[in-house]
Order: sequence, then C-alpha cells, then structure tokens
Amino acid sequence: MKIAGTTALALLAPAMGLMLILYVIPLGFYFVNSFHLFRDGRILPIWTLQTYVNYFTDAFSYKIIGESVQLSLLVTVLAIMIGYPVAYALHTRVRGSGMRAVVSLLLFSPLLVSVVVRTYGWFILLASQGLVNTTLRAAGVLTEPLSLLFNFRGVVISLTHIMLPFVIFPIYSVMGRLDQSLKEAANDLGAGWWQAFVRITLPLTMPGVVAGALICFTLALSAFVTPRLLGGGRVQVLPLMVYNNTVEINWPTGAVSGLTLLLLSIAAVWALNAVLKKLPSV
Amino acid sequence: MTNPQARAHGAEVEARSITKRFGRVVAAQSVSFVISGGEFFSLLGPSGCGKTTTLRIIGGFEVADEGEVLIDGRPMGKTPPNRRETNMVFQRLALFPHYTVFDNVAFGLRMKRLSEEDVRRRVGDALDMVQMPGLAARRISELSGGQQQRVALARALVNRPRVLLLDEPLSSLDLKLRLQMQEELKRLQRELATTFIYVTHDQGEALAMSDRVGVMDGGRLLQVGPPMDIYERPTTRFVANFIGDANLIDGTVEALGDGTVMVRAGRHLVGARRAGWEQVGTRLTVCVRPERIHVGDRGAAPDTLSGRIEDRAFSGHMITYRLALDDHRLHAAVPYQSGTPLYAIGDEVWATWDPQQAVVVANE
Amino acid sequence: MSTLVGEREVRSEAREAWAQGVRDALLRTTLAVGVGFILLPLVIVIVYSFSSVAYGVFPPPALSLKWYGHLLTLAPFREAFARSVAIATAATAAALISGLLGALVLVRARFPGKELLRGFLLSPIVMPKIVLGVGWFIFFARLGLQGGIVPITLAHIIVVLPFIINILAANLIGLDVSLEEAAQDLGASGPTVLWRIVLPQIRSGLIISGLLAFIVSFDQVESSIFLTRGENNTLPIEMFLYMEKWQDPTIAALSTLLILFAGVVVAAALLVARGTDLRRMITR
Repeated sequence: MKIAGTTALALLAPAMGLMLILYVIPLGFYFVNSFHLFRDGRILPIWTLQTYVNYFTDAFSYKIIGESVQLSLLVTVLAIMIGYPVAYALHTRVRGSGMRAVVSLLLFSPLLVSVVVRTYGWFILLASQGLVNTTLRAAGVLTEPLSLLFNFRGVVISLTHIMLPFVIFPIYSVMGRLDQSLKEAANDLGAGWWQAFVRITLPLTMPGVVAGALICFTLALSAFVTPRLLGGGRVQVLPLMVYNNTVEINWPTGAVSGLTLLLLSIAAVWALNAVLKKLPSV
Repeated sequence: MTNPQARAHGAEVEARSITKRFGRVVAAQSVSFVISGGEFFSLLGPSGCGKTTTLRIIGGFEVADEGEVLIDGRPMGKTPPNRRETNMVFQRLALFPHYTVFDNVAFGLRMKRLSEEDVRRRVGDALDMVQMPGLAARRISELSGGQQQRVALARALVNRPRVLLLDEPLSSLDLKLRLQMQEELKRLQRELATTFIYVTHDQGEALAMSDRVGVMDGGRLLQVGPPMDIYERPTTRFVANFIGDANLIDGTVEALGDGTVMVRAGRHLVGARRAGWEQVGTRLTVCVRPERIHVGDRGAAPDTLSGRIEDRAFSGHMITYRLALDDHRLHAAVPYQSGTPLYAIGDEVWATWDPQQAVVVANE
Repeated sequence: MSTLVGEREVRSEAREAWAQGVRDALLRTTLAVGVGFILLPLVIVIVYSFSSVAYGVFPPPALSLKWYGHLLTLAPFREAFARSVAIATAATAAALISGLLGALVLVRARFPGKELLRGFLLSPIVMPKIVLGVGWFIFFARLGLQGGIVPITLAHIIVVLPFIINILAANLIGLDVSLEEAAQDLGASGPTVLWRIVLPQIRSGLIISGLLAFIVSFDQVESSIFLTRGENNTLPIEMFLYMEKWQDPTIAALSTLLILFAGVVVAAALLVARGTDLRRMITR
C-alpha cells in the first residue's frame, strides 16, 4: 500500500506534532538557558556567552567531564570483557531453541526491573557486611572489608552489571549471523581452535562488539540513578551535575553541562559508527 | 582407470560401514566403499540422502557413530579436520570475507608456517592453476561467483591435499558456468592425480565427471560403479529412476531364455536382459530407457506393445512421445531429423526394444 | 606407516581431546557465572526482603516478613504504583498509535529527507534523559502545568516513541505488500487494509514494542524527577527518594513484588503472543 502526499502528512501528524511540541520546544527552552546568566541566586534572562566561558575555564568542569568519560570507558571495557565470553558461550555451548530462549530471557530479565531495584541490589551486595565482602573474607582473600560502596569502584561494578545485557545481545546476534562453514574452513586448512578464533571469529564479530560498545558508552555516560545512589557524592559525573545545577536553580550552568553531555554522546556515536562502517560485514 | 602415478599423490579412501544418527534421524546407514588413489569419485543422490554427511565424516567435521574411515589404510578415528590430509571445498565456499584473495589462499600454508617466500610462490602457482592470475589483491566481495569458486578451489588445492572433498561446489552457478567448471575440475583432477570425492544431486554432473559414481538414498549406498554401468545396468528401482529417464514396467517372469527374460505385464509381454536371479513367477520391474524404444506403425510381433500417442514434445534434436498402453505410460525418445516419420496425438503405434537394452530390477 | 608415527598421532589426538574438554568446561563455567552475576542483584534483593534486620548483612541472621508488613502501611508506595501503571499504560497507548502511523510513513512513503526524518524521530533514544528531564521541567513550568500525571505522561510518550517506531518499522519492512494490494483489488479502503491486513500481521511487533514501552515508561527516573512534587511521585521516583534517606529492606520487599509483577507481565505477553513469530524472534 503506497502512501503519498496528503495521506502521508496526515499519518505523520500525530507523531510529528508530539515531537515538535513536547521535544523540540522543551529542548529549545533548555538550551536557551545556556545563553543566560546565573548570579546571586537568580537567572538573568540576558543573552551572553559568559556561562559558557565560566564553565569551560573552570578546572572543575574538566574534572567532571574526565570522570564521566573515565567511568563510561571503564564500564564499556569491562562489560565487553565479560560480555563477549558469555555471548560466545551462549552461542557455542547452548543447544536447542528452547534452552537458548530460556538463557536469553534470564540474561535479559534484569532489564524488566527498574534500575532503582538493580542499584539497590548492588547496594546490599557491596555493603561492608554484604555478600561480596563476606564471601571474600570467608575465602581468605581479604582480612578487612573492602570499601565498595559510596565510591567510584562500586559505581563501576554496578553500572557494568546494568550494561551487560546491552553488550551481550549485539555480540550474540552477530555471532548468530556468522557462517558456520567459515570456522570449519579454517579448521580444514589447518587452524586449531585458537587460530580459528583469533583470525576468523574475532575479526568478524567486531561489528557486534562496536555496536554494543556504542550503546553501553552512551548509556553509561548519561547514567544518573546508579552514580547518585552508590557514589556517595564522591562520583562526580555530568548527569549529577545537571541535576544539582537544576535543583539549585542554576539553570544556565545546568544547560551548559547538559549540552556538554549531549555533545559527548553524539561524538561517541559518530566515532563508533565511523569505526563500524570500516569493519567487514558478515 | 586410475593414473599409474596416482599412488604418488592421491590417497586411497575407505569407508567401512559408516553409520551416523542425528537424534532419531539416521543420516547414513552402513555406508561402505573403497576409492582408489587418484580416482574422481562422486556421491550422488537427492537432498537428505546422506551424501554430505558421509563427506563431512571423511573430512573430520562429524564423527561416525559406527564404522570408520581409513585413508591409505590408516584409521582416522576422531582426528580433527586440521590434522587430516584432506581439504574441502564448501558448498557456500566459506571464503573469509575480511581477507583478500591472496590471504584466503595463503591461509593453509601460513598455518603450516611456511616462509613468506614459499607462501608467495605457491599461492601464485595455485592462482595460475585455476586461471586467476593477478587477482591476488582483490577483496572477496569484488569477485564474481565463478571467480569466487576458483579461489575456493585454489585455497584447498594449494595445500596439496591427498584427498579433495567437494560439497556441491557448483550448485550456485548458472548453467554455462557450471559446464565450464565441470570441465576444469576434470582437467585439474587428471593433472594433479589427487583423489577427488565429489558430492552432488545433479546426475548429469556426476556422470560427466566421475571415474565412478556412488548412488545414495535415505542414508544407504545403493550402487557403485562407473557412470556407464550405473546408467545401463541400474540394480534398484531408485537408481533406475534417478539416473536419466526410465520407463518402469512391473510384471511377473513368464519365461527365461538364453540371456533374455520375458515378463508378463497385463496384456503385454516384454523382454529384458537376464540378470541371473530371476525365476519363473518372480515379480520384478523391467526398466527400459526412452531412447531405446522404437516407435513404428502397427505391427504384429509377439513382443511389441501397441498403444496410442497421448502427447508429443519437441526439443530440437529429439521428439519425446508419451504412449498410453492400457494402464501403462511409456516415454519414447526418438532422434529427429527431417525425414523421420512424425506421429500425431491419437495415432495408434507399436513400440518395441531390443531386450538386451532393457534390465530388470527387484521389487522393493 | 611406522608405529612411531602412529604413537605420536594417538598422543596428539588425546591432547586435542583434553584441550577441547578444558575449553568446554571453561565456557560452561563462564556462562553459568555470567548468568549468575546477572541475576545476583535480583536474587539478593529477594533474599534480603526476608531479612529480620535493617542493615546490610549477609547472610541475614533470621528470616521475617515484617518488611512486607511495613510496606503495606505505606500508602505513598501504593499510590505511586497505581500512578506509574496509569502513566505507562496511557503513554504506551498513545505512542503505539502515533508510532504506528509514523512507522507506516517511514516505511511506505517516498520523499526526500526521509532518512533525516527517521533520525529525528529516533533521536530521543540518544538524548541523555536528564537533559530531557530538565527541558520538560522548564517547559511545563512555563506553561504553568506542573503537578498531576499529565505532564509526566506526555513526557513518557516522547521517551518510548522511538522504541516503538524502530520495532514497528522493522516489522513493516518484512511484510508482503501483495497481500494489501490483493485486499485493495477486492475493494478494501486504506483504513480497512490497515486494520484487517496490516495490523494482524505485525501483531508480535505490536506486543513486543508495547511491552518494551510499558517497561521503559515504568522505569523512568531522571526524565520525570523534576515533574514530580511529592504528591504525584511515580513508583521508581518514590523508591529513589526513599533510598536516599533510608536503606532498610522495605525497598527490598517492594522490589521483590516488582520483580514478580514484571514476571507476570512478561508471561502474559508471551501467552498472548503464543504461536506468532514472537517466539521465533526470541529463540533466534
């Protein structure tokens, strides 16, 4: 059924209407604020670039940006390092569509539950008398409880956990599309398991890894709940700054922070997409 | 049949009672054959008959549940593919998409840790052999189907395997290209004297290229022999039907003569070459190829069949008639030249054949 | 064919089998550990909800149902739950309708700049939610429309719309157009074709995207936190604020109930989608 002219416009109207009124305009208001100034506890609705200048000449801003990027990078790398083997194990060692569905559902299940609940779970796990510390002490690895809560470490661990399903599934789906006979051909030509993996499987599953990295990095960059609840105020990332600024009515600085966050996300998406295009597709 | 120098290169391959099950499906059942070194051997059959499974077992990609594979007399056991002296050309070619032509062909040599100098030389030779010189730097996606085919071949042959396994490699090519590649494969095999084991469902292909053909159906190996034997003397109904066209007439043995057997099929009495296991009263099937049937005006010899032309098809060099005789349908193929008498639909004709040109197969 | 060669082969074959066995064990362990790691926080929350003490100790010294009892006395959570369900349902419904129509245009219509339009409609996914949250705060404040569930619902529509459009567009692309042409040939009008031919075919897409939208809306925190004022909190925000002050197992009890709720919703969706290609999508 072809759709043309006025029909197309009519069908598009609801979605576009919603988007224009509830998306473009609010964002417009938001970024307009970045050109205002905040002084003495009030917003001065004048047009100026002073807020930008203040923000980008403040070393503190760079500390926050650095911490945000560092957190996201670390989480992405960890999630890939854990997620890739899990995806590989799921792809090669689980047989039968029933079992695959069950395991996939289990890996996916945390996403069905609020991030607040998941963060809370980590809160319990990472407490000084929580499961992690108790187990490590019982195993003799630690003599004193490790401080995993209310600091960077705890945020990294819990955020990695939250990101794992987002990393596992793109990798798993690319593996599924990989031609089985490629591995057999490599074997036939004399490659053992390791050679075949390094030369054939790994390069050809890279698109999945990059896609997963893209999702993970951008989600981690804009994560709010987890750094806020588990960071104890010591983890200063951009979303938290936006929140704090807004609550303190310093909307101009909040807007500049938010813009920085958005630009970082876009830069990451753009860069990783460029990498994706260069990879051979399966 | 085999090249006297074959023992220097091609290996002898023996399958002993290979049986393989996938769940409740028996893919291969007691398959046994011996392929001489340097022979071009085809496994022929419809999809699902077990030919690919057997090939994969020989290559080491599957392990047989029962029976074993011996190459040059040595049992292969569970040896994985990377340690067998076989190489495979896969059905979907399995060329590494992220490597150039050169790196694809060089792969096996690099696994053997040859010096880069040797690698370069041998890859060049291999590409020359499949007539693709100068394309070494291309990416796989830039090649045509025929070219990819040759690269897959080169990649396997560059390793000088003693047995080359080919899994329906030409099925994705168009007719012209396929015929061309068939000729090339045959030429290569003669030159290299490597043992070729070729799997296909196309009987024309198998008959054209092979020294011997093994026909499979439902997991069982039904008949093995040179192409002409398979064609002229099928031993089962399936083989008769699968190879070429066959007219199959069920009947009962009425008389045994000197080298001939007369079979009663309803109103008709037909003759075939005597196999030796028939007795008067045995129920069996007579198989006669369409091109062996003579069609003419009504005659009255005892072993002619009378019937009516039901349909007629013209294909350039041949006319195929469909004859209706009581409850039988016979297809007769008559070579056509100007001057050949032409029968119309509805004409009453007689059909006959030289009994020595027909065979009997057992009822299953 | 000396015995020396045979021996060497036998030994390396054994080594190969051993290596394969090690790989096997490692991979299975990895999968088990991976699944365990992923489920760990949820499991611990459930266990913790039955703990007899208020602080984070593992293993809990004794079991108790008192936190569930405490939960039932807290009216704000009950109200917040009802609010979240209402908002998620309304937002999902609105997004499904407008998203379906939009997806139809994206897939079937031809015009310049279509890729840009697609990028625009899908962009909220990339937008940091906190940025959107502040934007909506300012927007609704300017309009004087603070409080109640309407602003939150409107915001959630925008949040879930791109997910729905993405999934429905993917479903629509795979359809056989000749079915619709046959219907038109037999006299069906546009809306009829949509209702009777297109919709039934994308049933599984509608269910999956609806489910996803509901879950995403239900889970929203930073996009909505500035639109709530204490008397109209959604459930995750209510939990979030509670967690900032107290960390006793009441939240664990609530979380356990939410996990159950999520399980019920998914099971219901799977039942409705039984026999459609939904199952195939999951099992691939």
